[in-house]
Amino acid sequence: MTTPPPPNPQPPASGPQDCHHVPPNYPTDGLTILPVLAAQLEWAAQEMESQILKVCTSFQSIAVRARQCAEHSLRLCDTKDTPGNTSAGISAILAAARSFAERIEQFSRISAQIHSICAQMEAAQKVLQSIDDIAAQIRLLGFNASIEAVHAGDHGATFQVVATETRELAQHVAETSRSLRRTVLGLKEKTEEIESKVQSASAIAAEIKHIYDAMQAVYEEMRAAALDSANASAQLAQQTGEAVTALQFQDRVKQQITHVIEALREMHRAVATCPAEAAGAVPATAPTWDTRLRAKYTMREERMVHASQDMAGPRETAARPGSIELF
Amino acid sequence: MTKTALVVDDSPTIRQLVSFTLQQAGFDVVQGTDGRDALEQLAGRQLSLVITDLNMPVMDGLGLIRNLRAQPQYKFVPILMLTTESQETKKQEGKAAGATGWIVKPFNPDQLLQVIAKVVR
Repeated sequence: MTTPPPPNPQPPASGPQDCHHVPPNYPTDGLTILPVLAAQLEWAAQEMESQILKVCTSFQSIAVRARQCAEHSLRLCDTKDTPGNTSAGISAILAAARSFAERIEQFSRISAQIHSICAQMEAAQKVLQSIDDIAAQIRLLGFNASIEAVHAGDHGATFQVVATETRELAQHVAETSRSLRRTVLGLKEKTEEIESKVQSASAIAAEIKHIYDAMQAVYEEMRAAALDSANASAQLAQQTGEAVTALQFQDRVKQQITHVIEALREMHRAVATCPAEAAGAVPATAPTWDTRLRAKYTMREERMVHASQDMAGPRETAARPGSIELF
Repeated sequence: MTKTALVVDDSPTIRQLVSFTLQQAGFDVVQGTDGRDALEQLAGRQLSLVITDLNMPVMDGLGLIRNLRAQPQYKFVPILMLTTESQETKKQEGKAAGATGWIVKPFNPDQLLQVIAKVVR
């Protein structure tokens, strides 16, 4: 609220020489200006009211949109699983991507184990090679034993049986080793094939993990931006609301102007139709202009402005705007 | 059921501000430019709340309150005065006429809604 202006300084006393230049119809001419002043004030008050009303309407519309924007932004950040909730939808996609990436990571660990199995199979192949060598040596031993058994004649008949069994054993071991080698080789090929596929899957997993990380970062950024937007929109709505409240000054100003206009017109009517009053010969029972003007006031501000011009008049303290009293 | 409020003020700005505030709170709003116009606009419809200015041309706020209180269907409707006038004598006149409360302009929309929540059932 603005502070009422200080009392007007006393006008300088005009010298008698000034009166020589005043035309004879000066008071009457001045009187005709009063309705013009009233009309000017009336137009200004109406124009102000019309423009303020437009500003109010626009501000209220801005406030509503800002509140809607804040609500929408907050809904974007809300992770509750409700229909149409964008944030919840993105969260669900991210959770699925995370779960998929975790499973693929497990697959990578399996790949390492398979690689280890491949290495063990190569070791098994070397062992089988050793068994082949041993089988060849046993076979040679059996063959030599058979020769020696022949040299021994009848005494070597029993030894001949052992030598034959030894050769057969060597043959059996060699066949078993071959069979095992084929099996190990087949297993190794299959394992290497699986390992190759798992390695491809791991590359895909790494790509998915990369995409997931990027999505997560974008989502977090989007969420932070939505929160900022919600806060800014809420602030805008509040400030616009405050601006609209402040625009209520127009109502008070218009009332003051209206009272001034009424007083000017009343004064014009009275003075134009009552030469005695114009000359200052006011009947004792008639209310003074001061009293008439005070009677029009409906606001404390008006009374304060009037009192500021009249040091002897009653004083009031400033009204508390927005004060509420329930009866 | 939607509640209906009567907003009476000779200032279009104040009518707009109060009506908008009430509409945002879910009220249907009937507007009047003065007491007489408000009674004509009302045409006997049910009301949950009246917010009226004090100083208006044709029929002022006190005249409107007295008129409404004389009608049985508006005898207990909450009536809030929303005015620039803050003189204690005026407030007492309003109370005697049947006003429920007195708010000095400019009003804060949130505070206005809080008061309304107290008086409207």
